[in-house]
Amino acid sequence: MFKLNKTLHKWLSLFVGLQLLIWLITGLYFNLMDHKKGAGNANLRTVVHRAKVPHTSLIPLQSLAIKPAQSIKLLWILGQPYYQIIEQAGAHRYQTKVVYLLDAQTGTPAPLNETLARTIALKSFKEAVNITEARLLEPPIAALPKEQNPLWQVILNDANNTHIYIEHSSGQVIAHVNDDRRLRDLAFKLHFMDYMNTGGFNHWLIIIFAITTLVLSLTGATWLIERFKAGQLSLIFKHHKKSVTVTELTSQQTHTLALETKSSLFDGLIASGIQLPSSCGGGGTCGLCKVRCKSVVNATSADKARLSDAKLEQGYRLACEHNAGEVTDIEVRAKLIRCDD
Amino acid sequence: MAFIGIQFLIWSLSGLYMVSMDIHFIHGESLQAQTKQPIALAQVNYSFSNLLSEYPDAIQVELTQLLGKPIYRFVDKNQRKYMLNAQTGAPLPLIDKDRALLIAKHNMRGNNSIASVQLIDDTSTLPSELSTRHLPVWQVVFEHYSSPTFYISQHFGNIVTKRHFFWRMFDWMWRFHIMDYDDGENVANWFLLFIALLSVSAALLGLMLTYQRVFKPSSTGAN
Ligand code: FES
Repeated sequence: MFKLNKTLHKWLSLFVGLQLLIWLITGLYFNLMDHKKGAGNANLRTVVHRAKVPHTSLIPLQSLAIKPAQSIKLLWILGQPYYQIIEQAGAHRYQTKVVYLLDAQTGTPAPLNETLARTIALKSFKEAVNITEARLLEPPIAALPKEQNPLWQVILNDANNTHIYIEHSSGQVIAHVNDDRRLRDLAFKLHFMDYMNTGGFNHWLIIIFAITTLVLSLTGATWLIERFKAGQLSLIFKHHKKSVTVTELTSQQTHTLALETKSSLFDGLIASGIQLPSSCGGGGTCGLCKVRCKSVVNATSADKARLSDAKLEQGYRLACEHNAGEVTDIEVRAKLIRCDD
Repeated sequence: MAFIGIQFLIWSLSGLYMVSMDIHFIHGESLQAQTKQPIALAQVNYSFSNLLSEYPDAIQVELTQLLGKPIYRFVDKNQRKYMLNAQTGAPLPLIDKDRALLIAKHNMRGNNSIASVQLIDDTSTLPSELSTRHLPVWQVVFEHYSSPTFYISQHFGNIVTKRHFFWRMFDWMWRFHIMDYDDGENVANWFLLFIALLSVSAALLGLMLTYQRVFKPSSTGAN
């Protein structure tokens, strides 16, 4: 059972490992970033649209042929009054809606034109700047994946490559998308695993990864608890040392080392400068860290899984599965030695 | 490093909750009935121009409806809120308890009965799930295991926010996810920074192990 736990942990780490690192690094970025800059708002300022217009100049709604509407707003766009007719709208601004503008003085349809979009864009930008291009985009809009309505895109020739998006049905500035914002959006895309550009985080890919990561964490935690129980991890560091005679077979040297009784033999040997071969880092799964014990040491399930009966019989055990306290005299074949005594 | 394990567990658990729960459901959008009747324009005898002559500073003027009756909502330059009867132009009184209950029932998709109703008009009684800018509001809680709650503006009679158990849970998950254990508002806290840095190193070390194990099987082998 416990072995299955370890195996699962390893394979899951292979599956989610890279994404896990991406989550952590982007998470770190969210922690450190400048949020105002990241939102693209470093150069954003409010555009004043409201102006005094003689109230008598507004055309009465009754005189207009207006289709049934949920609500009607009186808007100002650059000093001119408009009726914004909302036939249908969702809970969020970006959701598909049926909304259009009428000139509130003449009653004629007045979709936001390019001149207005350009002027609004310039007014919403703190510095003096030139426009390279302006065009009306239909969704989907790459930079704003959630958007389901047409937007004006006004491209500036500033150093930060700003694109200003303005809502076609209201003249509202939706976003300044510049290089800072693109970096943040990329981080979000990576963090949300939104590789299909949905603009959100409720999708099957991330759900599968989240489940896998949860299992990875759980198997990891079980493993830690197991090691803790085995006495290989202790919260309070009590230094109990014990002398162990270690014979290194390649160099035919024998050392008497003082090893920490509570840490694993594997770790204890490393601390004394003898590194055993390993590819699991002391996890009890690679079977490379074998040592021969001259006294009797009970074999653990990991020993039995990784070592043949003959080896077990000869006294071979996995160094990472036993504490230094259990042995007195051992033979090892080290990968690296750095002994000073 | 072993302590990081706990945070990894918290991150994966809270992350899983947040990605697997539909965000629109979390926002309570499914609680609210979506049957919107068009405004009865024929009844609107008080025009936008009447409104502007009486309230020249009005902004965010909207002609909409409340319980089937056409109304105007707007604010003035001091952000004071106004609501007028669109038939007569008469200012409408603040929403009282009975109206609040009517609005709540009218907007609730299910026909759950009301568990409690209460006026929240100062910050001392403000629940943490509500932003100050909405005050004053009527809090209407429905009978249901998830305690669906509508917050209804006393000035405007509209539902400013909907909350339910799953939202509250999401909010906690978010706090755990960003490790902000006081108000859930701050992604840039030092604690998170510290743990995240430590975690990146832990994950890198773990990945190195995985890499060694899977892509570089040692020739000595295990037996
Ligand atoms: S180090 Fe891999 S089994 Fe001991």
